[in-house]
Amino acid sequence: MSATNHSCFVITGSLTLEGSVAYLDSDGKWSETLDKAATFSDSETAEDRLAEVRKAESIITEPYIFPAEMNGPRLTPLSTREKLRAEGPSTRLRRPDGSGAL
Amino acid sequence: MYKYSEYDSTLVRERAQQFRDQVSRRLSGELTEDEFKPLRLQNGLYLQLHAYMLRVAIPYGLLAAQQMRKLAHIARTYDRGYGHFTTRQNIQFNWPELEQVPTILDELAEVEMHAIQTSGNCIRNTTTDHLAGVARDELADPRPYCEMVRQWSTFHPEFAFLPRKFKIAFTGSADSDRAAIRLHDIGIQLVENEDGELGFRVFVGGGMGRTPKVGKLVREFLPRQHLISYLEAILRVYNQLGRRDNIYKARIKILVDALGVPEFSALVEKEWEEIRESSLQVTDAEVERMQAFFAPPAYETLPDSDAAVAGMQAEDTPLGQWARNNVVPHKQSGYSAVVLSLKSYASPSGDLSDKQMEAVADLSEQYGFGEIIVTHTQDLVLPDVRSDALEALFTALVDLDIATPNHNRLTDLICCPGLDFCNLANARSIPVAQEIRQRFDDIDYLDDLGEMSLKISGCINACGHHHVGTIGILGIDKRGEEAYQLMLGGSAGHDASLGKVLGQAFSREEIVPALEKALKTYVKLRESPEETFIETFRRLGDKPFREGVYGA
Amino acid sequence: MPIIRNRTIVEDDFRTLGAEDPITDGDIIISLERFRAEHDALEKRAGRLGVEIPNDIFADEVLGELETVDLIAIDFPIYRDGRGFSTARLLRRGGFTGELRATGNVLRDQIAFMERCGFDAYQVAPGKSLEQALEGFEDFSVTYQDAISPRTSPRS
Repeated sequence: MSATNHSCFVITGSLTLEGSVAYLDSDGKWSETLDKAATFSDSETAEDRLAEVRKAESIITEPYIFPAEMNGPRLTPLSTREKLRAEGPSTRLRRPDGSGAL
Repeated sequence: MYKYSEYDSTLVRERAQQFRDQVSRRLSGELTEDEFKPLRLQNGLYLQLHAYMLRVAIPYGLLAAQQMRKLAHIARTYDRGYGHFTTRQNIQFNWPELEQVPTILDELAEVEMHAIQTSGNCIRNTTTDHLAGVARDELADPRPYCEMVRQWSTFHPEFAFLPRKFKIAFTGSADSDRAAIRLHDIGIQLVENEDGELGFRVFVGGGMGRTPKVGKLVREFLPRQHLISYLEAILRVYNQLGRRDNIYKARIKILVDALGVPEFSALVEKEWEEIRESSLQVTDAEVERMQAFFAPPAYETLPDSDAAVAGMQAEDTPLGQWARNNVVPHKQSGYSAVVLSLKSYASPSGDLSDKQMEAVADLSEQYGFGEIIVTHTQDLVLPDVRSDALEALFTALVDLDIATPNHNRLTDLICCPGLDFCNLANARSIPVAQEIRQRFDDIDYLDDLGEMSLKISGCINACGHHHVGTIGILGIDKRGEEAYQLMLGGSAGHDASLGKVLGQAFSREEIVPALEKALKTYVKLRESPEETFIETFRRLGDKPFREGVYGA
Repeated sequence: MPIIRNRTIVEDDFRTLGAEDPITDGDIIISLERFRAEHDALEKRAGRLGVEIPNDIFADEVLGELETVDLIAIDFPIYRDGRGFSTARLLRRGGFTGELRATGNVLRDQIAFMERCGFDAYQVAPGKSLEQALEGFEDFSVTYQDAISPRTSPRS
């Protein structure tokens, strides 16, 4: 499957130690922000790269590919799930003692 | 409550050590993630959307004050300052890091707690009535039997790799089932036979999820001494015959349906024959030993407080409202049980900050005997409050924002973590719950709507128990967009029934207005304000509600 | 190839025969299918006999016919599939006293449970260390339930 105009694929997973969301960047490192993610124009290339990086299980857990689109400089996931992974939970959690930490 | 013996302490310490070793073998590569996953799940460690999630066991929902303080410490030290109480009477921490989890388990072991078998295809936490031991309608306290089942099921060598998860629940009351036993893989009701002997009614094959089912009665009366051997027989039949080819067809409910109750129960009885007289028998001495752990606390001799409480409840004040809804009659004269609503307007259902946990621990000692119960509806209970201290307690709870007087009202809604947190979800649930709480915040209106349970799940796995809500909301994925189904008519009690989907799913913007229309329809059609939503629905069926919500 | 037997690493003194291998004397393990089909050849030989059974077979189906064999091997096709634990328990309860060997995907983290279900020998998963597997027996010094080979229980 090839990408249409602006769409692409991103490799993501969970950092094994922290459990946090991470994206594969163009240096082959795992970045915690989406804007640093490497993009692949077709899923086969992405799958091939995925096969290489998934072996480093002490660093990354359950990596996979998801589709996204480039809107100018901005990379946006297509699914709600991936948007939430990128941005964090959408709920406002205000605690009575004033702490709002998620 | 149950006090750990040297055995129990050794077991949880060794378990924590075993997990420490497993983590280290995972990080060294000796265990692949594929091999590590079932091992970490058996210690309640999930990998969710944003982080690991650790589910800590709270056996039958009973916590001692010092345990609550330890949970607060863990929330503060290893997490982001809060925990989430679940629909199986457990607690979840949403942000632990992998290498810290063994230390968390060590800390839990210090206060006789653990995360054993809170996930994975094994026997999970045995749950019960949140009023066990204090309810007036209780035949007998089910907790000694819950503790027996806990011990029997923990690290049971034969049943660690079942076809799927397995959940057992007990109730000790005949009139009302506050433990939803008919929605469990095995549901057990304490009963008495004509000779006054205590035994059990056993239901098998209840559950929610993709194929919700109400449990079937498999044994009308099981004599007390056979509790464990009978359960062992059921589990052995399930372990051998449960489907392993399809995870959506692997629960025991599917097996019971496929075989039919007569054949299923015949297989169980056949196996049971072989083990009935074995060392699995529960002796009278064992029952007494267990019951001693749950003996009533040192209640003071107090005059009856029913009239005084009724007087408080008649007041048209915040205290009065709270007393009407959140204060429950207690079997001991002069005492009440109090529901602490973790359903305030700002926080997700079931969440509590570390500071709130510390305060609740203190309150449990000041206004009770240092025990706190976690309900299966994302609330807490202080089980032994002197009725003459209710007003003082109320003031303290208001300061902590856990005094919302909405127990069994619309906004006492159960809500799973949903797509904001959970890997399995299709849609967000917490924002829907928050919108509902903000929209329906008039207590008088909620009281007028009366008794109801609203339950929200973010996916078909039904952790929010949406099938058995008076009103259930199920989040789905409709062509890549979040959408919500509305269902009516569920119930989790002795009159258990599964809700029916009303019609087409709603968008995120439409679901709360749709809910409002369903409520308006009820108010319009009820015979009197005393007729509850579920009664009206059962009387009239879903057609008038469909018309009210979707238009004729 | 080494195996674990009675909590010790030993050389496997049984030879597992493939589907086409001729039945010989000596200590051999064959499939249940072959055991049932080639009875005559088996009668005539000398040496111990082991039979490998799949994990989805019920113990009472085979108890009669396998009563007197020297070894039963139960395969664990994937670690998640826990049927073999029940099969082992039921074989012991049915009176089988020979070697009960777990093969296939045997993980160090299951080995203590396997022993308590009646296994006494283990062929660990390929690539896994036997020394590490042995350590699995030491993970817990106490148990809640009686085992086939009884260990300490809270009631004793």
